[in-house]
Amino acid sequence: MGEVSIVIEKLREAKARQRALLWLKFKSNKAAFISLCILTFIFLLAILGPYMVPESPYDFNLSRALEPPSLNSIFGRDELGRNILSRVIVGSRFSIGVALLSVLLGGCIGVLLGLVSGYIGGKVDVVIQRFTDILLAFPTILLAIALISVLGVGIGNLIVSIGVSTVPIYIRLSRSLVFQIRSEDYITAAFALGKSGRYIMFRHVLPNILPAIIVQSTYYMGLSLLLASGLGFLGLGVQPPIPEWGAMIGSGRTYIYSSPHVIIFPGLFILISALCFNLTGDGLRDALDPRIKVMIRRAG
Amino acid sequence: MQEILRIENLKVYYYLPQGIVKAVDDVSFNVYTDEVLGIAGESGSGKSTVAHAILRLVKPPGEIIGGRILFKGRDLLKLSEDEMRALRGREITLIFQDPSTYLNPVYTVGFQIGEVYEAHEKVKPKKAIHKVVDILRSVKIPDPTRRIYSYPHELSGGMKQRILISMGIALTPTLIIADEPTSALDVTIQAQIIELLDEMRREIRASMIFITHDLHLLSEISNRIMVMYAGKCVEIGETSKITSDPLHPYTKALMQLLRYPRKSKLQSLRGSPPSLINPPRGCRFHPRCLYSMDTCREYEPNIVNINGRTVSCFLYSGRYG
Amino acid sequence: MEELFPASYIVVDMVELLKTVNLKKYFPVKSGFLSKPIYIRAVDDVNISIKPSEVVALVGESGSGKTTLGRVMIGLMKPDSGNVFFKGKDIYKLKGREYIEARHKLQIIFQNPDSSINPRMQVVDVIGEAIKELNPKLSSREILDEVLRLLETVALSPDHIYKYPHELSGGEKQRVVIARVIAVKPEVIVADEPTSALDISIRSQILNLLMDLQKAIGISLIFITHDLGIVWSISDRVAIMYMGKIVELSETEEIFSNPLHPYTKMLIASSPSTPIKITDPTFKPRGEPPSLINPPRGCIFITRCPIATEKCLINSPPLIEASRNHYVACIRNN
Repeated sequence: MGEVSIVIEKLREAKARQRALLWLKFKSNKAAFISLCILTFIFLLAILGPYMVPESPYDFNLSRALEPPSLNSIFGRDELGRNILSRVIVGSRFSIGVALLSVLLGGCIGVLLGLVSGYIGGKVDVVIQRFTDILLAFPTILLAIALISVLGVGIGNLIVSIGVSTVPIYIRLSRSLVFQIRSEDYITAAFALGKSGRYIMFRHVLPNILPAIIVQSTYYMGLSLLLASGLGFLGLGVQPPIPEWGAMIGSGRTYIYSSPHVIIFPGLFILISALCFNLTGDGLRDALDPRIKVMIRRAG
Repeated sequence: MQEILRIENLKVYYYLPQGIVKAVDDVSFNVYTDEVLGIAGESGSGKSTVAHAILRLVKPPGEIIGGRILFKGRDLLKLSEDEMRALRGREITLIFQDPSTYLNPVYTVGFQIGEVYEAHEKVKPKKAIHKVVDILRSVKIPDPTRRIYSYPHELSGGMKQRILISMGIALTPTLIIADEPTSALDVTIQAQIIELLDEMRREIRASMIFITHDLHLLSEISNRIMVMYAGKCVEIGETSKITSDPLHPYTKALMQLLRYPRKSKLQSLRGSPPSLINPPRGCRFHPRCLYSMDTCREYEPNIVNINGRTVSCFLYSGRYG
Repeated sequence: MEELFPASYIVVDMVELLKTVNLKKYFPVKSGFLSKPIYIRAVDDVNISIKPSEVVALVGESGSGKTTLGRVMIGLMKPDSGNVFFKGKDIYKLKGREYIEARHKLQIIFQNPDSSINPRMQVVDVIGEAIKELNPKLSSREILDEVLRLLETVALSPDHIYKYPHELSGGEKQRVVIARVIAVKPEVIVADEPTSALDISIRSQILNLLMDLQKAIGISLIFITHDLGIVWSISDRVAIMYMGKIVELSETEEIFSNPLHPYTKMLIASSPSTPIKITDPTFKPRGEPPSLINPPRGCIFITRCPIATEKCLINSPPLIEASRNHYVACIRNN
């Protein structure tokens, strides 16, 4: 029998091999790869950017209000003379942060409920599904608005509202995935071995639905970002002077004809971020699909 | 006996990120008029790929990279797609394993058989009704005048396969390629389908290439058998000779596997089918072969003719010839 | 090889290890709001008992109910009526400690090796979780040793432990499944066509392994298959099933030398791998199984039977002992 350390080493190697193949497939999708690069850049921007801004995003200078993009300020200045570049950079932290945290919140709650609902079935399933039906009866943005009006504005409440709005979608998603996995032989085998329902749910079902859920989550990140921006635009999300992208568009909308740069730049960032989330999701989905094979050209 | 199909040095490779899969690697054989050639092999032997290659149905990441496929003298690999389309379904037909995936669920079966007519004889499906009913009757589908209005999901597997066969026979092809046509069917249905297929084939005097892993079946229906292993052809010969006196060690092993002695250990073949990306050096069968010699590990055996049979094995050829 | 196999842990003193009584399992078919509920009679009043250390083949085509019967017998699907007794106790009424013990002793091997193993688990964990069932308190080192021992029993080299299922061949996966099942020390295993999805050159390896284990440990094997060659080679008794019923049941040699039911004869006549041929053209295969939803009146085989008479329309014939230990459900055989 070999040394335990060698064995553990080989176990790790095997896991690493798995991931390497995934990455290779993902890389071959150019759009997805570029999107991921852009997203990484934006994430880095969100984390490190605020320490590197040329000017504070909060300093206003009315004498330079609505200044168009110039060498002094690349994105121009808003109606209060603040540097839009700084605001966009700092705003990324809020916009991306809200998107990420709300998806995390909604995902954790929704996947858990969907898992239980799908695996246990019966009365539990019926109760959870009716609850989901009620939530799904509202258009997502209305639900978010309703929640915000109840909870009040503020970044925490924004995260909760958007998070809760995504819960029903996650419940439906994970439940349908659970249905697909539930009838697989290895689930029956685990049951035959005497494993409890809880063990099977978390050890066998959950790990197998997680990839698809992660893929969908990239789409929901885009959705969440748009929701946050939408609420910000309406003034219901993050409050001024916090430079959230949607809020920036909201407060700048009166200047759409005279000084479009005020809304173009934050809008562009929203657009690119959401698009990149979606394209990355596509790439991830294709990479995880075992049926899609990648063709390589023969040498010579 | 005329030769209607001649395959020369066919090579079909699949280009995957893990490497190049040599699915069919230099295979040659021929088919004569009015005969059934059985192609036997396990999964990965390349037998299905050969069928797809003949009809030029190989799709990326697969590619036919070498060889000639001569059908009635014409090299099919040199024809245009339009010319191939005229051949498919008319002169060469393919009957495959799972009829459910090949019948369109939203059209009636009568319409789909009629489509075959429309494609080749330029007759509108509606006008072809009589022909379609005749065909259904000839494949012994009960109540054909009503059946033409049935949808695929209303039919059993056996009936769907009969319909697929009828579509294949409709235009009296010269060559029928049957790729595991009964593997998805129950055994009592399989027996009936095989009988039907054979009857129809004889009636139109077509040749048939019958591909399966079930050697018992092949020994009952084919005139000659070609045995494939890991993308190579290892032996070709008359059925009776191959079953009674197999030459290639793999064929010998396969024949042994067919025996089921009562309450004693079954003959087994050690090892497992090789990877097609990194096949063993030399003869692909040598790691599992009971007779392997040093030469087998280094060189690929060449093809030898012995009394009208073909074998690819160093036991029979000289050395590197 | 014998040293590798665990000493038999089976101590049985009963004749009927696993027994079904009037077992019925029907599956409802949805058919609109107001119509009466319709059922597919997957298992229709089946009585069979399995002895210790015997191999019983359940033979039938699709729709025969063999797979459903196997699963109901092993405690995976509650029957709609009737009982399953394991060592005298109704398995669907067990609870707690008794349930777990019975659960371990009744195991299953599936047809499709690809779906039998969690694609995200390495072999060591696949077998490890079974080992932990019997011994939850083992250390990782002890579990690893036990996994390696089990791998040796199924003829897999130690370096298989860090592989994922997709890195294994079909035959290797089946071996892992067998090791997993053996780890919980079962007494009855239902093998549901375990070799149908494997290459022919691998089939006999797996069959030999199963038979070696069966003999060494003394497990009872319920082998579900449609391949008569395998039946002839490995089974002690055979149950022929058609449309949810057992139509013939006897010792293997008896069934092949003296098949009584017309369906059995038709089956033998159509099987290329049968050990014994039937030349009588009366039993040439014909027809198709009727709908499972609306089975015919009287004998279920009536739509295809070459020797059916009017009397066959009246009742579904019961399984009756025609000669010693040879049961048939056909009025033409009495």
